[in-house]
Amino acid sequence: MSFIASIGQGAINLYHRIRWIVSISAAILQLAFRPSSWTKPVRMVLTRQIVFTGYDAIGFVAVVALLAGISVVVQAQVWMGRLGQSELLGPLLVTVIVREVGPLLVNFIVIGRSATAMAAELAGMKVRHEVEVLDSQGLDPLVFLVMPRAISMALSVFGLAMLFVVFSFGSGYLCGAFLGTGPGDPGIFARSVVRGVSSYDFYNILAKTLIPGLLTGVIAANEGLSVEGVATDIPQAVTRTVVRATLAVLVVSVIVSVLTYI
Amino acid sequence: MQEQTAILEFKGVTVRSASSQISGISQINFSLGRGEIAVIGLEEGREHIPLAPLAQGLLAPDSGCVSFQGVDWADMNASRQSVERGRIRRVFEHYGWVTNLDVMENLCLAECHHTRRTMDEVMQEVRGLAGRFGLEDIPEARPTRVHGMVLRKLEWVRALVGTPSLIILERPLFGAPKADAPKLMEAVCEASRRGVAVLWLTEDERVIECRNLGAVRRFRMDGEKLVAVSNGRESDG
Repeated sequence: MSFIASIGQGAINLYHRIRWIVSISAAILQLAFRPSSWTKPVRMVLTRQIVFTGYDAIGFVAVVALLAGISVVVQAQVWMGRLGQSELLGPLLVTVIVREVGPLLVNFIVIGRSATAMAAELAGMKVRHEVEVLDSQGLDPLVFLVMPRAISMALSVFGLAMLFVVFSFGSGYLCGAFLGTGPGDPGIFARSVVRGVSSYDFYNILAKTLIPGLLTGVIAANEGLSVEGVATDIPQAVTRTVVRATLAVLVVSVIVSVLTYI
Repeated sequence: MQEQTAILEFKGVTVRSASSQISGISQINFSLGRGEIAVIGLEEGREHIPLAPLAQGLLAPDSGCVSFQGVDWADMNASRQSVERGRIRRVFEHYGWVTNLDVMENLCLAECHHTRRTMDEVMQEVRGLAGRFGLEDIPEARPTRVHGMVLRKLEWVRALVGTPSLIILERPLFGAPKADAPKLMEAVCEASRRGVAVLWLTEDERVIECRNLGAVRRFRMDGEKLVAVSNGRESDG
């Protein structure tokens, strides 16, 4: 195959992969809005996944947010003070933390911590023929395995991103106050942040958490369930999950930023 | 009088052996009505005969068709197929458990998913059935931590829970104590009297020869062919 032909073939494969992931995501959303999909066992899976992906990750996300808050917020306070532009502190922090760093870091944490585990778990189920066991009992794998996992991932990323923003602003303010670089009065700091927030930021954080979260869940499930009966394929499925989900998060983040603010 | 629709019907079903997981079968014909039991004798050591996945619409035949309650699986959409599979219970030839759920969740899964029964109600029925097979307690652990013999008997329990239309037993006595075989046969007979159709795949001569199973049709797999057995004589199925 010539060089040009291989590029063309790669582009066609990529198009098919994207179309497949988008189709599954659409099917999941359609199923999720159908009350009959949410039987007792499906609700149980959703609850467990929210606990694993969201609740259990709070500690780690809090630590990352504290550290990010200290490095980003304190630096912003110092530089804005030196430039005599302290009134721009709020908008700057909102741009960096709320619009970009918060959603991106939380998405990456969820990919590393939960999507990999999900892909390995589902690949293991496929290898042990457990998916057939579910299917033979009339439990559609899309409804029982994929839908609650993808939905829980979207909700968890959103919730964790909100916590990330609160923790990083809090830690940044406290650290600035301790070092004497911040505004001192928490009211001034809070007002400058609130002034920097627009209604677009709300849609932005929703889009940058719910969409990539859903896609990450779908990609992890798709890679896990694509394994065909060989346990040695599981690590490769996990690796593909990390690479493809990371790319999806970055692409969605760029598209949302462009559509929202430019 | 209107003819009753068969619960399960195989018409000229052929599957070519495509992998080590599927043994080929050729021109299989049989039907199973309400309350009927079909016992299919298997050759010892011949595994992966795909009658159960075909009966559940999990495997499409290379030729012929398989109907469940009068409708060809190929004519149902995915959602309808799931609903119909909810009316079928199965004891698997090999491991039939979901390892990230505990044993009780596994036992109640299908019934809780397809019906409005409460978990407590289903658990109560499960405990009652388990008691019949000498299991006083249901292990709270995940299946990988439970002895294979106990799991095998619990698969019988799972197959009998609720009101299925069809029960498929794939070598259900494999790995179970011989002394418990009559208990399973008795439970299957009771289910059959309630109108449940039963497809029993076995290499156990006690089941193939058993005369106490009620309305039984007997077959034997002869290579890839299914042969009907009646009064000691064999004819093409």
